[in-house]
Amino acid sequence: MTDRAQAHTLESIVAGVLILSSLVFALQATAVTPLSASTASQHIENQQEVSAKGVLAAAADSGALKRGILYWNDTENASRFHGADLNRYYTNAAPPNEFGAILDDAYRARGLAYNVHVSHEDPGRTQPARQRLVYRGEPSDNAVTAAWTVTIYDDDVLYDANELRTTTTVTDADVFYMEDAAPNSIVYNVVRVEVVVWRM
Amino acid sequence: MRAQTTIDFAIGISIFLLVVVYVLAFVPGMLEPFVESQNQNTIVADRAADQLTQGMLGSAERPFMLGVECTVAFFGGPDPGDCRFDATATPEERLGLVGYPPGTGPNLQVEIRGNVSLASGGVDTVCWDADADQLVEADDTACSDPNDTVFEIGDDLPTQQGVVVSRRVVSIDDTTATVFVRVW
Repeated sequence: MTDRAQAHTLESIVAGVLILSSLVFALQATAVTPLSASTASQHIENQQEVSAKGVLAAAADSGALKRGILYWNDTENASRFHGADLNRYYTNAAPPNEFGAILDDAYRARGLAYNVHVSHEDPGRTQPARQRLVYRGEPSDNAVTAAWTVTIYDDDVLYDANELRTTTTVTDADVFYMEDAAPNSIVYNVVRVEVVVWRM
Repeated sequence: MRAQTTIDFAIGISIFLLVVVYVLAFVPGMLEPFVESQNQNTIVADRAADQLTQGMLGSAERPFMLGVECTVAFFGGPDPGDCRFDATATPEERLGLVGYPPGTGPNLQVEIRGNVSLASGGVDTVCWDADADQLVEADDTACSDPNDTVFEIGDDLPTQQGVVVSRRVVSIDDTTATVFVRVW
């Protein structure tokens, strides 16, 4: 009767610590990879990146990308993209042209935010200058980027608010945001359009 | 006499039982990464979508531009004969997802959705109207002939299982649409 096992508090605490430590050891031996099913899965970012490339490819193929770059209001007191606000670029809504419609179709309903930058050569500086086309804020840490290169020639014209050709070529433009990077050739500038996409 | 009061025994045994029950409740969560995960379906869906949009339905030199005839042939329409897939095979066979032994491969559904009618919020499955030679949405009345092809093919979606989706933005017939490849 006096030799039966007992459960003193101290002994039960020690036994509990032993069992918990074996559980912790087993848990830290399992692996969570970037592709594990979670909201931070790498698969989501991959899809966003390839979708951005598809959007740029579709816009470039139909010419909407180049028209979107040249959708500039060249009058003296405007000096911005058509329909943009004081900042010269679009913040609240997508650009009111075909490029904006393609971006909107791809991203608006899915809670994805995007920025569009136009990087162009700046004569006199070694770094390209960046002009914002759409700015929705600072991207998150999980943002992805896709880019497309477009060549602007000296005889390309600007487009008006209805996306029709005007008679103002880029060389004749007064307050265009780009400058002629190669004055002795028919190439005006080579720009890279970058789309940055992230989940809000 | 033993040097143990009833209170001491009660506290001790309750601490011990609490810890044991907690550990046992953790065991299912510990086994989770070791059940058949969706990782390989993620890669399968990604590669199948890449193969479709950057090679099979278009051409590799113009990625994400889909040719109309081969896209219609992929979804069951008439076969022009020069597409890069076997129009008589199942979608799994065309994409190489049959599995070995045959029948153990994943299930697959490919769909193209777009907002062709430009109505707000009207993203719907896209359909090719063979009479008018244009893209319409699948619930349009113009898409009810038997020789119109709805851009959806594959197995029916499950209702109680996880499905991995890959999406690509493409351009067909000067319209942007989204290709969904669903694998489970």
